[in-house]
Amino acid sequence: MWHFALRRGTVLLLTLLLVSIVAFLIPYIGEGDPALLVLRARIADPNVDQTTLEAMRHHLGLDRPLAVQYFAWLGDALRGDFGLSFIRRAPVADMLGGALLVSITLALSALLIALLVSAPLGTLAAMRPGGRADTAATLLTQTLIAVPEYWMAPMGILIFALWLGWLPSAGWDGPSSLVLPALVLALRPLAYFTRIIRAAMIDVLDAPYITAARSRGLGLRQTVLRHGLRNGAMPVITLFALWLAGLLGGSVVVEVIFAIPGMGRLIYEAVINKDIPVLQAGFVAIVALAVVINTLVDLAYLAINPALRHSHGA
Amino acid sequence: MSVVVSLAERRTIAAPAEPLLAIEDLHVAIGPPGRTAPVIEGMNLEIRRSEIVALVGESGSGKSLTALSATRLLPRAAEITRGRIRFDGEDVLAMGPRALDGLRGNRIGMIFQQPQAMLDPTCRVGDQVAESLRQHRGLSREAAGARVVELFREVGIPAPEARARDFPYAFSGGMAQRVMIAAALSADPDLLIADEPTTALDVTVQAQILTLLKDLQERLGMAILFITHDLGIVRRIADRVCVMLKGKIVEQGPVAEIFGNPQHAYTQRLLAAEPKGRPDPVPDGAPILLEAGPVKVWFPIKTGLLRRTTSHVKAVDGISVTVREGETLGIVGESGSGKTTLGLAILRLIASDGPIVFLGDRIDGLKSKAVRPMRKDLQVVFQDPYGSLSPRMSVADIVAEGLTVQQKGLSYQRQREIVAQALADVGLDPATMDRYPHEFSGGQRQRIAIARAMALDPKFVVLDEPTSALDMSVQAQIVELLRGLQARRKLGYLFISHDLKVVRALSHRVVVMQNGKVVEEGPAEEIFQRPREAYTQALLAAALNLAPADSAAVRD
Amino acid sequence: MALEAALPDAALPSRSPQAPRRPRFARPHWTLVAGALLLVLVAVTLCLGPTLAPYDPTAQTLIRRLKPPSEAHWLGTDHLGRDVLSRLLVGGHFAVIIAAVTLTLSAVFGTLIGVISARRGGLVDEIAMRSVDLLISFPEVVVAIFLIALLGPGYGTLILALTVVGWTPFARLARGLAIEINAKPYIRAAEILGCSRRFIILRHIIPNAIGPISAMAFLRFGHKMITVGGLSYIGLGIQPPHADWAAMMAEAQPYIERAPLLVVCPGLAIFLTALSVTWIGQGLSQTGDKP
Repeated sequence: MWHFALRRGTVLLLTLLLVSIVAFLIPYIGEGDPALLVLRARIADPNVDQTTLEAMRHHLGLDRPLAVQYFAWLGDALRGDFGLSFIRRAPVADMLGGALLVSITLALSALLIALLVSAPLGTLAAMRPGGRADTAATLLTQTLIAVPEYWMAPMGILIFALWLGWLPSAGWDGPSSLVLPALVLALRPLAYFTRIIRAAMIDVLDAPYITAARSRGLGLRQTVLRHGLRNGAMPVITLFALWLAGLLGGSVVVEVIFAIPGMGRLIYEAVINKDIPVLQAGFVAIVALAVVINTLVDLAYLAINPALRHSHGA
Repeated sequence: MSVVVSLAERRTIAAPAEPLLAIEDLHVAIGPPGRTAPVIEGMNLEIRRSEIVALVGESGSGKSLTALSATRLLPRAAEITRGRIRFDGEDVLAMGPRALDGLRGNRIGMIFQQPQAMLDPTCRVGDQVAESLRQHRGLSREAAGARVVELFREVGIPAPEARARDFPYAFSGGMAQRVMIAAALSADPDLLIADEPTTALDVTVQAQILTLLKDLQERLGMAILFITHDLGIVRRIADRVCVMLKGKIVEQGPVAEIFGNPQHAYTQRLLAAEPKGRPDPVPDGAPILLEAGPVKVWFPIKTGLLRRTTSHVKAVDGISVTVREGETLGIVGESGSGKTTLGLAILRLIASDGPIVFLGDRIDGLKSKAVRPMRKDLQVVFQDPYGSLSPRMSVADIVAEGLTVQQKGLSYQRQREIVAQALADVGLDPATMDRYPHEFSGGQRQRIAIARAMALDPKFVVLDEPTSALDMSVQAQIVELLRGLQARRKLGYLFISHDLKVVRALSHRVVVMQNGKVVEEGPAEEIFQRPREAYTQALLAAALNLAPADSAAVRD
Repeated sequence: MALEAALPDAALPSRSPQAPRRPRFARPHWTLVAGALLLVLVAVTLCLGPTLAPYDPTAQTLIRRLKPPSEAHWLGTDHLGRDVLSRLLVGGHFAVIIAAVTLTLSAVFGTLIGVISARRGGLVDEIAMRSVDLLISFPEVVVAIFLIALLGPGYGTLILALTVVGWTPFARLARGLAIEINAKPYIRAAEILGCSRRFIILRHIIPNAIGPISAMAFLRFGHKMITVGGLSYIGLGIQPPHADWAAMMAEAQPYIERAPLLVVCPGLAIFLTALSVTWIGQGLSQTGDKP
């Protein structure tokens, strides 16, 4: 068991190291000269004379060897210091932290809505495959997969904010701002969750150990809850985690439409404004999140299925 | 708590006229909504208290569905369309869910075919058995736990306290079945329904489980409905037997009567279906086709942080075989003996150590490309008639596949002629050659696989459990076919099987394997009549009479 | 399993207990048919779009801004006086083509990686699959944004950006299929018959694998198109003056109350296109299965 954890830990660290190197090199791809970028961001004048450029280079420490620069950057990063944003002159780490919080709230809300609707829907569909509930669920699923969120969002704003006035059309103040964006974001994961829950439930309902347990007189509901859920939960957990990692940053379009200060919008604006430090930090954050979420899923598997702890290649 | 009542007492307690389980005119259909097909059509069955009734039939007869119907545990796609089921006077079909829960496990216990699949892999075994105890008897955790340990001891599980805390993956087939028996009997039911409980187990383990069931039945006095396709089992433990064919009972009665004087044609066919006969003797001076050994196949076990090889699984540990033209060498062993691995090594499908000489050439060191031309003479028939034929190819394409590779110059017409001849040789109608595998039965598909091997006119064929997945009656036919082909074409066979009856009907010489090593080898007659080693004796006893042997010789 | 054994082959007319997933002449699932029809409609519209368009899609007539539907303009005009119907007819080209190219590249590359990974096994396999595990959880849009930031907007960049993450599900599927198919006894039998590795791949593995892989390609098409649209919406995808459905929606956002059609129609177009291809994918994967 510990060997497994050690191996995964090493892989994790190596990945993060690789990611940090790539992040560090971001300013060097593309434009090529970070000093120029910084100056361009600070001064409106596109023409920059050499002395100012040299001074900026020295100020930023760009005349040091690349490796030294990297380790300095890494050292700062590990302490949580990603520098100052070119545009806002505020610490990047703070900006990122705030945006991350917003995105997590949005993503979790959306996914929970999706789960709450898809769980009963998928289960109902699984109870009689080919029956009416199943056909309805399948149709719904196929439709939702094809709906762009940047269509639903304006439609939602039109109907609920502009025509009915129930919800705000944009912004991020108060729980009512969360409703519309979370609903819009929940639509596609709902479709995918329904499909996988249906498949998992079908497997569970037909599983031999369920029949065996029932043959011992245990009721259907009790047996499914006690035994079926644990076995069937695993693919659902995987999908949930995948979507969570995907929405953190991936909800950029919705964030832009609703003017929500999330991670996606932060990175998007950083791209438009060529705000390098934010881009670097954003890159590291996204990858780190994906890795962390992946690892959490593996841990969840081990927690749910104690059998894995023993039989895994330890 | 269970009160152990003697058999005699049980017999007098019950009113002898009233059967314990009565199934009348049962009709069951299966299929997706709106497209169901009947599977059981008018079945009648009665079981009295403390009686052991065997329900016999081949695959597709509907016997498993009968068992599931008795407790209304049919799969979701199936439903009872007509009939009456009464248990101890009560109408089972009219029962509500709570009444059914009270019936299941409490009055009717069930055990199934694949014991390891019947346990929740994420839950400790003891907990799963205790569940029903707490449900039916209202026991506390500790009391249930103690009872579970008691039950495990009764069914012969060693170190019961420790085993109760294990997970299902840690149990072998035989041990898992003991657990299921313990669970089924935990609430002391009046009837135990056993659906092919020993089919998936090794033959020596089978014998032990049967003895266990018989012992328990004598002690606890319960009735057993034993579903099986194996007539040997019926002979060994049943009082009455019901023969089922295509959803109906065609004949029933006391075992001695039915087996001694079968009336129905199907019953007669079943009884006659055991593989019989002996192979023609090998002509003197027959050349040696294959000489291999000692062959070793060791799989490394990699553990630790750096995945270093710490030890090996010695699947095949120094086995030597020799096969001559027209001779069959039978390789016998249970699961894990390494016999299939040996076959794969000789076929060069996996790597191995040790010389293998085929038709005078060393083939063990060759790269796969170099072995290919030899394949013309070295063929195989596998166990699974469904998986060994590509579902997307017609029968003609399947049988001709070898030809397209080995004899590239053949014209299309000539290929089809060879295919037609091969199909005819295995007893199939050549006109069906453009059909697809899914249109044929298991036995027919196996014939197609044999035709595919024969189309290349090989000298040597490795047969890896070719009859194990087939019904008994079909098995006998395939054995006849193989014998005939061997005599006509002077083929050498390496026949790998765990089924001693089939091995006896085909082999000239036999090698008995256990854990990768040879236990005993010699001429077939010697091995079967005068086995020297304890393991061989145990194997024979179990396979031929279903009697268990000393546990020392056999592992479970 | 005991229960599967309980389903007798006698009940199903001459079918083995494990009926093949795609028998030769199976009745196509309704989604396949519906999807194909819809797709044909969409394709015809896209191809004939430029000829059918009553007006030049880029012609701006500021006098006639934001007019409601009329006889002259069936769907009205947008904020620059351009005919909505005409823009709609030509607005799908780039999104569809980019999505199609991306998917083809992803499928080919992903399948190659998956198959090689399965064949090699060991360390190569583990590294490849771990990378897949990681990449699959990245938000595609964000990765695309990063790449566009570095390389500048453009169709090449778009395709590259979307392929970088897009190949991963194909690799996983291909690897799984390769392992599953390779384990089948009929592959062993083919080896015994003397078939070369290449022959087996061509004759057995690829035909059996192509079905699920193309089904997945179709199923992911809708997702890709929507992602491309999303990037165009925020200005990083398809650039003006090329008409694009998603860009049209972004431009119309400020005027949504006055002229909701400007947002509804392009959205509907994207939806129908994505739906048609998804149906085809669904139909492909279900043809021959029980409904």
